[in-house]
Amino acid sequence: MTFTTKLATGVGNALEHRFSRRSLLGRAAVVGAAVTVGGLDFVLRPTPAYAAVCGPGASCGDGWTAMCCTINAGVNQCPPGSFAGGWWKADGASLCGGQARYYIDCQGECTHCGCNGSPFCTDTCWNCERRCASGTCDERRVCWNVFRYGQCNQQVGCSGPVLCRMISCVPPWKFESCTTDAATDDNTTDHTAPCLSPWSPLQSSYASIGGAGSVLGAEVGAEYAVAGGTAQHTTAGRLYRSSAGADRWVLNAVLTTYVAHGEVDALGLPTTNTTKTADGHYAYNDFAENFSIYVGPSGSWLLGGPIRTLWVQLGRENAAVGYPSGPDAAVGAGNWQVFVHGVIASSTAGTLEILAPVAAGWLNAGAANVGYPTAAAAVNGGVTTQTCTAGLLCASSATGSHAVYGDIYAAWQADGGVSGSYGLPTADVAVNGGGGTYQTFQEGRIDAAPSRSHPQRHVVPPRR
Amino acid sequence: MIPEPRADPLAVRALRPPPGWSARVGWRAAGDGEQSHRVLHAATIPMTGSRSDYGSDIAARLGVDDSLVVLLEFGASAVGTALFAPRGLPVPQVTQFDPNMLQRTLPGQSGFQRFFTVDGRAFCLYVVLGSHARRARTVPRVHALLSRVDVADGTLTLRGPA
Amino acid sequence: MLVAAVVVLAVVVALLVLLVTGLLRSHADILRALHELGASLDDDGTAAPSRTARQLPPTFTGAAGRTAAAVVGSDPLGSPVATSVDGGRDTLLVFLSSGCTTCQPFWGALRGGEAGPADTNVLVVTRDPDEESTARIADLAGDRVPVVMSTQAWEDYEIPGSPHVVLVDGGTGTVRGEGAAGTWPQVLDLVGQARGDRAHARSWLPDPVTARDNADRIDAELAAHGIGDGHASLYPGRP
Repeated sequence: MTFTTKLATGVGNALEHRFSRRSLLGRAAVVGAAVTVGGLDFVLRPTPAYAAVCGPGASCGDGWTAMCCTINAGVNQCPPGSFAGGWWKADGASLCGGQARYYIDCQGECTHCGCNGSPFCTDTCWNCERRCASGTCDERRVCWNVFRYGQCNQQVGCSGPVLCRMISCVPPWKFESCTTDAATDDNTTDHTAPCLSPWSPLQSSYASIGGAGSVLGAEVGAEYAVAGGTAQHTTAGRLYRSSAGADRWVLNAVLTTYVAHGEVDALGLPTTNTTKTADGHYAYNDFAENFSIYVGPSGSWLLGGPIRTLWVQLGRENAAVGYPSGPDAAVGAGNWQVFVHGVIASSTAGTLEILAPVAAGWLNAGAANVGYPTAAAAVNGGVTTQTCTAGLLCASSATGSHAVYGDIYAAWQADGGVSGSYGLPTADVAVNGGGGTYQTFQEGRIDAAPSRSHPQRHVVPPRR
Repeated sequence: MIPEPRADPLAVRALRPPPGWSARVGWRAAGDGEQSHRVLHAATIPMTGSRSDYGSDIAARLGVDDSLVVLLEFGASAVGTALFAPRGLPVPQVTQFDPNMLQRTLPGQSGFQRFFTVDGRAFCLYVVLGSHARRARTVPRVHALLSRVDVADGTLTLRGPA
Repeated sequence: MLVAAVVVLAVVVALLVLLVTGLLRSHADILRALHELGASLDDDGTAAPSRTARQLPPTFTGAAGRTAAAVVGSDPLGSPVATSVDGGRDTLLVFLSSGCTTCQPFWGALRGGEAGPADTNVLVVTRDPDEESTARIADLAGDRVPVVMSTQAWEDYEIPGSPHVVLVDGGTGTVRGEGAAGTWPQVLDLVGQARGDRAHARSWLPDPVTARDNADRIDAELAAHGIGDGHASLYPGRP
């Protein structure tokens, strides 16, 4: 008789003698004592630390097979050189939210000999070495148990031992070459390892999209906390869950750039899953701190701040500038980013597109010289102009795209600018022999001294 | 909800383990999308009610003179595959038992596993001996058990001696 | 006239009081008797064993030597199970019910993994699923207690009630002894004694319950006192 039972019975007997024999109070005392003491026993029952983390049967001598993630760099799938040999499930598993938990045995392979009528080759042919897993409390056996459940890859009739066990809350036939022939072993329900995540809302989300069979692939390591939520590494990306309960994934194509820019801490949690654009050429994610990452033929680029805001307002890739094609760059009191068909620049003067044909002139001149745009481009008589904080962008089919800025711009403007005697710029600003700068126009050239305070005019007089 | 295994009336009537054996024939517990097939458990110790199709709970309780025999049926898609290519119920020989040929390798035990096809039906035979050292003594008892296995007429049971 | 009516009413009331008192007393006696027999009013059967059951002296009596039948039935999950009790080690059949209060210590001991008799298979036998709750039996048995649900076995072994244990000799396939005990340790003692002295397996300490209903034992005791078939004292009303 256990201590709990003795105590409960003793309390019941004492009350039976004190009160009427079958009184409600007596019976309640027995039940109450049993519940109370049993509850304490349950709460206070010593549990080995290993059992708490890795579940029962975690030592090598217990005879079970180790989890794949324990021996496969945290990856919860069959390691290279092994294949799914069969599966079983444990029903009502708390580690899968009370649903069935699936175990897929990964079989080692035979290197140079057959099986001679047996489904297994001899150990001299195995492509793995018998050992005990190490490094965590999952010290179960590796490449040891010569056994096969038999529902997967039945075209393979000869194999080595079970290398390790892959764990899934999603039926294995949905992502492996396995049949649906049921097999159960509830004795393994709580077998786990530190590299496997306990059940959580994020794990539920992962299972709901297909687990290892989803676009995210197999899990790598256990779930962990990030700012404002949790995250789970997978072979094809990461799955994030915000504390508000939104689950979003970032696939590796986008993830590389996301991580390079500081991931959650810098960009915030993803607010979309990695999604293909309508034309199918790019994949992207949006992030909580007003960032997006687009990946496609033009590269993998981060958009953020006012530039992203304007780009989104203009219809993202449907904006005139198209997809991003370069990084965000900051010069002076503003920043800008190159797109396939132009630039978006942002400064105290505003955030504006710089489109072809003036974009080339702006890029050649640089924000440091011509400054940031202060208004949208204007087209007048085949001439496109766009004012900037330190100059003007000017383009026509006859003269090309050039920026006029600095002292030259001041002199040119004083002369009337586009409508003045010099006409349109025909080249970018260049360095002259005296260390100053000059720029040619349709009707002449303007030189500026090095000090930029005394521009010398009319080296080539205008025709008008 | 965990579906309960179905009983097989024919197996109930025909289940006749040889002396010293306890046997159970059931349908494997199948969840959504899964196919249930028959499984036979026979052991020289009484059966517990837990769900373990390869009998890990029974194997863990085997004494040194005990044996466990498990016969699982697989779906029709397994027929004709390389894994199930061998034909006929295998009869394990003493030399074929391996201390590592076990679902769970427990000290002292040994096992035997084969996949095979009989009458167009795919099966797996799995045998666990409580003591590898005493296999010469226990394997004949396994043979006695296997001699009663009957898969005729789509069933799976142990019939009485002819 | 009024006085007479009052007297009559008083008498009627007194009679009614007497009747109700009698009914209450009768009800109490029935409850007490049920309790002493181990019947529980608890729905879940979790109450402690009754005083009477706990004080039952352990006994092994009955049809030792008779051929033991295989136990055929189903497990708590519904699968057919057959257990032969010959040709192997000894088998201790433990006949239990889910609702009997005095069975609870047995379920607890077995589920808790308390050791059984050495070199003996222990098999719990309950009645068929149509007479027992399979879910309740599955809960009580857990995953460590072998259970066969077989009313046929109860009939084959002529089980008078639960708990009841039958020890089967694996070598001969015959019953070595049977009886009742209040606790699992008492059962272990009985098995130990049965193995130590087979001759006494049928006549250990008298069991007030089973002995009362055991015709063989009654016949034997009467014969020992010179009372056999047709003895006049057996028929007091006959001239």
